Amino acid sequence: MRLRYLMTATTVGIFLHLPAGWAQDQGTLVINSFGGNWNKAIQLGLIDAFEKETGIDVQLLSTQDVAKSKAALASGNPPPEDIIDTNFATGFSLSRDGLLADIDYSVFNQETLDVLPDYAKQPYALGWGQFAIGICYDTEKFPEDKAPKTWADFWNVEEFPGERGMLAWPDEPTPEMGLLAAGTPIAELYPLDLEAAFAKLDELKPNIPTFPSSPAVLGQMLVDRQVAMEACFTHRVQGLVDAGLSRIAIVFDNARLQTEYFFVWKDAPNKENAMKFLAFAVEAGPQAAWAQIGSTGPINPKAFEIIPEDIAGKLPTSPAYETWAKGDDWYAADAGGGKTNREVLEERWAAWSAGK
Amino acid sequence: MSLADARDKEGRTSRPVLGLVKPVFGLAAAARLRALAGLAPFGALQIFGFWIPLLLFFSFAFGGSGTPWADLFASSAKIDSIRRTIWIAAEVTLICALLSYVYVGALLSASRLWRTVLLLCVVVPFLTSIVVRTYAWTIVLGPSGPVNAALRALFGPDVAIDFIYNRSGVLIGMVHVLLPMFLLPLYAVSSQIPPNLHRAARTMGANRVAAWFAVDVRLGISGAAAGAALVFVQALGFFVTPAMLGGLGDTMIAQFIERDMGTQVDLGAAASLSIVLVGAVALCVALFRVFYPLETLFIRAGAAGGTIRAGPTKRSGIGMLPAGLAEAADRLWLRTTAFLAALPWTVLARFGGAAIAFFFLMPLVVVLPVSLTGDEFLQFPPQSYDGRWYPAVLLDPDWRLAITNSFIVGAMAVVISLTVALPLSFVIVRSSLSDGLRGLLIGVLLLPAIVPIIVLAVGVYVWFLNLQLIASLVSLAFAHAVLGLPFAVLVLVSALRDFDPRLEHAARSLGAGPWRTLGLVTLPLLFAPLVTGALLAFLISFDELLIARAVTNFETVTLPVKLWNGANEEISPALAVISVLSMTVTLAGAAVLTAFAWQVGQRKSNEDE
Repeated sequence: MRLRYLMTATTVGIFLHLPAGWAQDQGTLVINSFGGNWNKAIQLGLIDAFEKETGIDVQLLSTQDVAKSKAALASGNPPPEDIIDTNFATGFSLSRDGLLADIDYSVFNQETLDVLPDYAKQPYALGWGQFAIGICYDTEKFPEDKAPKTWADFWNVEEFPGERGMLAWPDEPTPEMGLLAAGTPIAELYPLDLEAAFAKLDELKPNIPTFPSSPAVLGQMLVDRQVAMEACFTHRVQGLVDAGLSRIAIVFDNARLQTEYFFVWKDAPNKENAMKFLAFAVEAGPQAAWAQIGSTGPINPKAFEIIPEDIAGKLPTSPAYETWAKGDDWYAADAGGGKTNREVLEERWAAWSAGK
Repeated sequence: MSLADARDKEGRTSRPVLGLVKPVFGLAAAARLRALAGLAPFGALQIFGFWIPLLLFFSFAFGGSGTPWADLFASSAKIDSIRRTIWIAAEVTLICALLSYVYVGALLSASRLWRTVLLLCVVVPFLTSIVVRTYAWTIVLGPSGPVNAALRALFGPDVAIDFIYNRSGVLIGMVHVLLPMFLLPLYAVSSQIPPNLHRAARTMGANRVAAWFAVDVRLGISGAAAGAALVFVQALGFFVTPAMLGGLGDTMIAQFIERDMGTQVDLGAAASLSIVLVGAVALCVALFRVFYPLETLFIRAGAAGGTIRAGPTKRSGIGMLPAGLAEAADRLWLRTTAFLAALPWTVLARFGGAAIAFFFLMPLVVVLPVSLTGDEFLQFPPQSYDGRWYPAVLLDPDWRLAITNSFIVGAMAVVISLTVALPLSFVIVRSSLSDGLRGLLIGVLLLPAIVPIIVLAVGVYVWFLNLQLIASLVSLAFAHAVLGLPFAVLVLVSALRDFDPRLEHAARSLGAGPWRTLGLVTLPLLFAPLVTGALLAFLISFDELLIARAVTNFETVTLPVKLWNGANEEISPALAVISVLSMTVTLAGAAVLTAFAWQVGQRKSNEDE
């Protein structure tokens, strides 16, 4: 009896184990991203249409973890995915270690390439979509006539009293916001003056109860009224607003756009299919479909010719808004001592955020 | 010599019943072979699931391209976090000690029914997912949560106390998770102290407080010592609680390890910091052994067969003082205890016990109404109730897959743990090992329960990757079995101590072979501890996050991984539903345990009559 049970359990286990290892045939592609709603939008907006058009079987994983992939490569194993979805600076450190493939732009549609911003077309990375960090606030605390509009308002706790929320990630609580609040024009942000930025962060620190490490928790802090205003991903908060949390408003102007990049491993088993997918992902049609699902920003401006106007207002890259893009180049640039600006910022941030 | 002692002596020296090898090589060689046969599966499992992964991960700290060690010691943030982690662990241990003595006082003065209720109040939260409980605290203690609402109702509308995102949040969350680890060993030892010792002390003129110190505290010290060691060592490796409830200046070592692996992708840095963390844990255990060898708790407490041996009666601290001072100290002691004895201790203990029980249950009580919400997102208090998230979760293929996987992994982990635990327990209890060797064996056995799991997770991942075992429920079950094994063995060992070997002798002398004796006498009599050990192994697997997160993929995802991803990706009422469901599983398990405990208690009291 017990033996039979054990055998059943083992068989079930083996069956569940098989498909993951069998994905390395021709005509397949493995993409690894963050899971949750983010994956849902990629699946419905990009992958379903791509599979239909090309017949390539795409597997979308939700276990994106660069450390794990790197550990796999370091121990002589193939990477667990062909394409990994992550931010530019992380990818940059991988390219420095020689782990990434060059993007083959020859398979891209030239018209599409022409309208993409330059920073999206990196040698080893493709910026394929955008989202934004903007001011999200509680309209019960700040009604329309007293609504915050700028980062100076965000810093102004006299006129806009209440706790503030920010993420714990080093390049996402955004030293830029402090500089903007101090009056630096957007065009002169980079190279970042970290001294001035941290001086400004010091000012706001007493009003920041914590730095959560997940955007979901940060969004929830608005729901739970733990903060009155926060610098959060607009698409996250938009999801809450759409679900019925009508007391929250989002300021899209002055928001920082961040670009999400796809990277292809040098040892990727399905490199050719990966390039085909990248070329497909930035076309206007898939971009429009993807952005509408999760209220994110298409990186291809032609997508807005397809997107209905009432939905376009929820998307941060809408031409109606004045936004600016995070300077990924500065973050990835060498700061001396074998470290990038981002790594220097990370260390400084870790010490600053951990200290009282 | 008591009957129990005699029984134990006999048990220890009698021939082991689990005779895998016939004594053809002479008795000593056969016994040695039998011991080896019992140890081999344990050794294989621990090397496979613990030592190789651990050393693999550590190796990243050496020979890479970076300079992790120089970077580590140059980073004041990391050095500070090491100091802070030790300090927080000490605070948590102290709070747990104070609360445990109050709660044990309440337990011992309660009727049998209430005692069971109070124990369930501890056990059910103890076995409920840490991710779930910690998230629940952010609701309970947050500015719009029930605690602050109650304070506002009592003290006016402007009252708001920041319980979370600061040190108090970390301490509350960690004490909630770790208190049972102090309380249960303390209660286990304290409940064995015969009540007539306390009565004797009172008859000899001690007031109730002095008697409590002289009898309960002194004889219960081994339980408190084990509890303190467990709590302190576990606290050093904490990750989820400080990450979710802490604020600025509460970052602990495990969070830096996570950050090094996650955002920084620096395996060398993560590995070097992990070595420091494991070193700190080892140092603490070593220091602790100077005062109280942990493993003797499991050897001696059992060897006494339920009777308690009183230690030396001299109050060591005061005894060393000069005569005059000692007299003054004695007088002061008498007066203090006499003053304290006037306080209504029974009432205080009961009141304190009720408060602590409430503290235990609070996060669970809040999760229930939230799970019934009719809102699209998670808020407290919910605006409407319709329970629609239950069918939503139960019909969702992703959640169902995670639930099924968790049950499969848990079941396999149980089978593996028990297969290894049973022969190992026989070796520990019945083989003729010296006490030193036995202590070493138990020490090695306990290691996976002591080393912070975050340190193991990446190593397990790399190791399984090399074996092509990644994303398999079977391999995850093996990794979980390593973690559950110590608990299964400790339960079996303590049961085997109380086991009367004469029952086996009787079976043997009536003609049963060793295997028949095992199947017809030994195992049936060990049924209750086997079930207990199985449940513990199951629940440890059912709640394990970090290794599962490292080695599973979307098809083999388990419930804690999905919960953690959910708490990070999208906080929805589904989390509360899953919490309630997993608590129901726990409650069912706890009910089975309690039923067994009652049955055993019944049998014991029948025997006494």
